[in-house]
Amino acid sequence: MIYQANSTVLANQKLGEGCHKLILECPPVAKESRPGHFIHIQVNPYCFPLLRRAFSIYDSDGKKTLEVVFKVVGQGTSLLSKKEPGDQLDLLGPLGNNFTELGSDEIGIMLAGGLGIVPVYFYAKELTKENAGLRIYFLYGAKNRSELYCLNDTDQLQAKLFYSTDDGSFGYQGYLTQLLEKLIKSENLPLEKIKIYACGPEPMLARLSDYAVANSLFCELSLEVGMPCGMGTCMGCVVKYQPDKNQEISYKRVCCEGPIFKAGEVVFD
Amino acid sequence: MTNPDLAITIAGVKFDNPVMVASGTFGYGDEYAPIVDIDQIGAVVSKTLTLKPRPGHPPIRTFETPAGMLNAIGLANIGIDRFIEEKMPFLRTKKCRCVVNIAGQTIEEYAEAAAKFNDVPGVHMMEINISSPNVKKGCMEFGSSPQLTFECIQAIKGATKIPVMAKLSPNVTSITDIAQAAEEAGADCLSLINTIVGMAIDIRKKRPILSNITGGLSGPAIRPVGVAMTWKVYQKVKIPIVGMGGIMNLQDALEYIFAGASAIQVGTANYVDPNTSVKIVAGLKNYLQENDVCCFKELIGIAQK
Repeated sequence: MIYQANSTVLANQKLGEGCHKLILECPPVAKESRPGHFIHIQVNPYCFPLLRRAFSIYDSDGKKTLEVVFKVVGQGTSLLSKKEPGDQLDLLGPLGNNFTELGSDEIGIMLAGGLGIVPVYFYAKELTKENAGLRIYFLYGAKNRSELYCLNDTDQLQAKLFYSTDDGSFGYQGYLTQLLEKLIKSENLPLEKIKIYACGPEPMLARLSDYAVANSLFCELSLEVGMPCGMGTCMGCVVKYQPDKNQEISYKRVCCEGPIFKAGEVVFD
Repeated sequence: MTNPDLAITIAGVKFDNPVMVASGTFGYGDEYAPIVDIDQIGAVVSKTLTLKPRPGHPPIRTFETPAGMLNAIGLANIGIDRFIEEKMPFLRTKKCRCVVNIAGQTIEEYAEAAAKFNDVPGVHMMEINISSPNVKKGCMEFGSSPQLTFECIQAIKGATKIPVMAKLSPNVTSITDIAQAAEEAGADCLSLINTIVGMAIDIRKKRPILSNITGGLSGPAIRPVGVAMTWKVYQKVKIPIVGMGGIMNLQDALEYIFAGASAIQVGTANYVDPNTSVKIVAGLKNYLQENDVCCFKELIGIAQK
């Protein structure tokens, strides 16, 4: 069920330079929120900026509250970063699809690139709660240590944790995709048992997609694009879709046919 | 005035109220059903439909601008046949009127598209897209010439008995000439304005942002243009006008109505607040009560009198 509902800001926590976590109280949306979902927030009651902003859900208690984590990149996120406890925000959600389930005999590998941690963390938290007994690897990378905004949360995950930074200031120096390759080899993981769940910058997803296809790995990517409506009506948020290279490219709406797609389905330019 | 009359009859079609949702901003009607009580709206106008399904333009298709947005979707749609089979059953269960919006690449295609709805129950009106700026063939190509507008509307009128609403483009030298041509050809009413041609450039990549290079500007940024065009066209034609362009709330709707619109359409505002149209209906009712106006019709064009 999708709702348009008013939410109340409970907290606005600064996680780093320009990075914020908003904790929102919104029972109808919180109750329905599942990993992979996003919400569409009206950041402003006036006309500029005009459109809502889409945010993957970082966490939800399943009852009353949900969390989003974002970086200030423009006017919409700048307005949101100034919200204070008690402020009201109109939400649409939860929207979009969810990550595929992980079987008890399977191995989950989560790849979180930069702010792409948001939907991946929510799923990792669910998969690792209450001694679920699942084998989970959590790989978290960013440009440098100061941009690993969610370290305090990931450290609490009951998963095997691996970190990477482009500059080597924390963990493995290099790309997450390189770390992934290294991990699969060093841990001798059976490829057919692996399920990869990833979100991050487009170049990372493009590299990961190629790697997953080349190695016949199950891999899901959560995409981020600008979306005016979030409900499938405006057709504005499409990506190029070509699961079968013998067929013509078609278009899929990220808001309602995604935001999660399988590696190899989406064409990255 | 305890119970003011919001109803309006346009081209013989009775609408419970004068608030419609604009083509392309409300999908096929069912997408917003979980959060919008569609029964409260005067009419749902479908996304533009064509004889064959269209994939639309490659991304990027939309871009936000000051108090507005650009779009170049490229008339992506499922085609008339699938719409009739998959979407009309839902729309028929709704109290509101159903307006189908159609387009073609040739006059023959427009007429053929119109004729497809002749035996389809529940289609109350047909809006003719002769104004989208985002396709190479058809649409604005017809709507920017009085002669081609006349020929297109005349051909459609010959192909269907469903009342015809011609949707006009603001990207013309004289919208009143186009409006009069549509009226002469037999259009039962007019809707205006479609989007204004605009463009944005990614200064980092030094390339246009939209894959189509240009797009259509919509949103509150264009409202004064739409109000002015409604004002001008009202003075030149006798058929009713449905006004649109940047309507975000009751005040904006009243501007169009006072300029001469018999009804209004809510477009881009649906993305900001999907319930904008429902709120305008409620606001209009309050407005009539508070101002002791018995029926909505009395407000049409009062700024012109």
